[in-house]
Amino acid sequence: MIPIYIVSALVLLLLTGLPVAFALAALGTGLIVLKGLPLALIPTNLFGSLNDFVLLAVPLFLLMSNILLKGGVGRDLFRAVQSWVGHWPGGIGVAALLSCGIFSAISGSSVTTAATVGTVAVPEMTKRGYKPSFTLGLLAAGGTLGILIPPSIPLIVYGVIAEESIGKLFLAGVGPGILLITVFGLYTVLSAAFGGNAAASPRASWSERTEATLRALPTVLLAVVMLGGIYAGAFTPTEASAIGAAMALAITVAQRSLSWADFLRAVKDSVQTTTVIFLIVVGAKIFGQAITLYQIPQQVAHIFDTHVPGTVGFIVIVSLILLFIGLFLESMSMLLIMVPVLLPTVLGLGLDPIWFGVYFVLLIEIALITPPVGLNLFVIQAIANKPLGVVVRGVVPFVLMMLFVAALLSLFPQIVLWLPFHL
Amino acid sequence: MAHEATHKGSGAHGAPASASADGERLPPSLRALRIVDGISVTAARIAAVMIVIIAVILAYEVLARYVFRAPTRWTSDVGTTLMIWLTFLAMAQSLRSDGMIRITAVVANAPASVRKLSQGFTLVVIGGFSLLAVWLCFGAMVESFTMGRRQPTMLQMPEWIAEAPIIVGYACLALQALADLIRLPFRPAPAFVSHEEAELHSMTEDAR
Repeated sequence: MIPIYIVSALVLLLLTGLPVAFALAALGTGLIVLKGLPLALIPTNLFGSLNDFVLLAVPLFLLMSNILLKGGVGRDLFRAVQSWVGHWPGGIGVAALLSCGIFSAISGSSVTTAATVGTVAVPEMTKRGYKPSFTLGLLAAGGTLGILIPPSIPLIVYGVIAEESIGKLFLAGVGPGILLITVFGLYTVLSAAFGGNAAASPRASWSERTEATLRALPTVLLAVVMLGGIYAGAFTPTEASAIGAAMALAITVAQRSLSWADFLRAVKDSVQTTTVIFLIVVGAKIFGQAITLYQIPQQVAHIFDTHVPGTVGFIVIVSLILLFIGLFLESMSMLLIMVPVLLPTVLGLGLDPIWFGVYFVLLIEIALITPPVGLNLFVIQAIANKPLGVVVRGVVPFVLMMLFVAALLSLFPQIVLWLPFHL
Repeated sequence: MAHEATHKGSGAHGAPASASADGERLPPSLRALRIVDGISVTAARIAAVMIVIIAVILAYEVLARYVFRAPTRWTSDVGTTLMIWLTFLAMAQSLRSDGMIRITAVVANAPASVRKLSQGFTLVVIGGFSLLAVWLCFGAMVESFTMGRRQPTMLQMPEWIAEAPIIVGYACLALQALADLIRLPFRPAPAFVSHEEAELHSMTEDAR
């Protein structure tokens, strides 16, 4: 019964409008007091919550993304990809999707990816006659690639909670990311070919291609240097984030696309987002300590052990729970609340924690495009200035495709695990 | 509809202009509370400088290792400590600018009096927890200082340097929560704007 009381108390606190970070911290403190344990546990948790070099990658990847966003990098990327594939059937949709994939490799955030690519791709796709619901669904779903393809802020936070290698987690996200792009891309091409969805853009000349590619090349180079450096062992993911931020600044300044005011806003936004994320980390640390003292993760593991048949049952039930919670809770809170509770069961069932991290992030991606809290839906809705219903209608096929990919990852875990254990 | 949202209106939200507009509706005796807003803004500006310093020193570390062949032994510790400082220093401004993630599904559609009550409850909990954190962490930091505790890292930096920001940050947050709580009755009931709307507005403007 205790887990039910704790969940009820947390839900109640959250519904009062109390910020997630303080709902977790206050409830955690209350539980420690109720257990009659010394309050000295609070400073121990507060001091230890952020004292981790790995977490340093979060503010720096955010800084890099914000600099690139404000420097208009999305526009250059989209034009370059469009010049190569825009004349295919469904080519502009594919260009948007590939731009999302490339931008994901320099951004750890889905919302930034959706906003950056969506701003340039939505008007172009609309001009070429793509159905509004398809366009908006594609961009909202394409944006979610931002947290699966490395670098990924949720995967960094997961790595810290689960004490797993960030480099391996980043590698593990590549296979599912490519699979998602392929599935989305096939749907886009087939939808254009058989659904009479849209006209392709005229084939770009070689000079146009060269010019657009050269403009976008530094950004692609940034991704190559950063991710290549991590996998070659030249630097850690945290150092890669600093190199990325420095390169992003150098690129945008050299291209004269970033003003001093833009830079200041990028810095301010990065600090704000960092604080918001890390406050939840701090709150979750206290809450996590409290539920450990009450042996909640062990009780949850016991419930799964006695009432749920095997790993398949666990995966199905956890997926349903996460999809449901994702309707109401944003991604970072989901991750920080649920991972400590589920991890002992994951390990007990012999599931690979790297696989589980990537699977969890895929479910978070689905949460990002399901109403009412799907942040990407609102971003794309604002860019296109269309009713939310149009975006929601458009993401339905993409949610189904993501569920299909989730099922594939469960059936063939090697899609996730091959790269980190063979590279 | 249930949605995650941040509340706008009761705090002196974001821009100084709105702070001053709100301030003008306050009794003159309470205008001194703007000093608290000023502290929060200044702390957030210091945090902004810190994130840039972190990027510079970590990029320098890679440069030092591969170009100068002389890796440093201080960048990791200093970077992590600065990250702790920046997070806690920017907390009060995060409350002031209504930046914290919260679920307002129920309260957003509630009558004005309930919305005020919800905001009051939020500020009491945040203020109360912050005071508790200051009290508990101060004792622990003094102990670290007097006992000369050092971090178990290469640099062996004194522990209190990484503990102090937690006290400073929560002290600023407690002050901001108290200031907003005092101003709450003099302001219109908070109008809740979804977190998504707030964030996407800034993001789409940037992307354009």
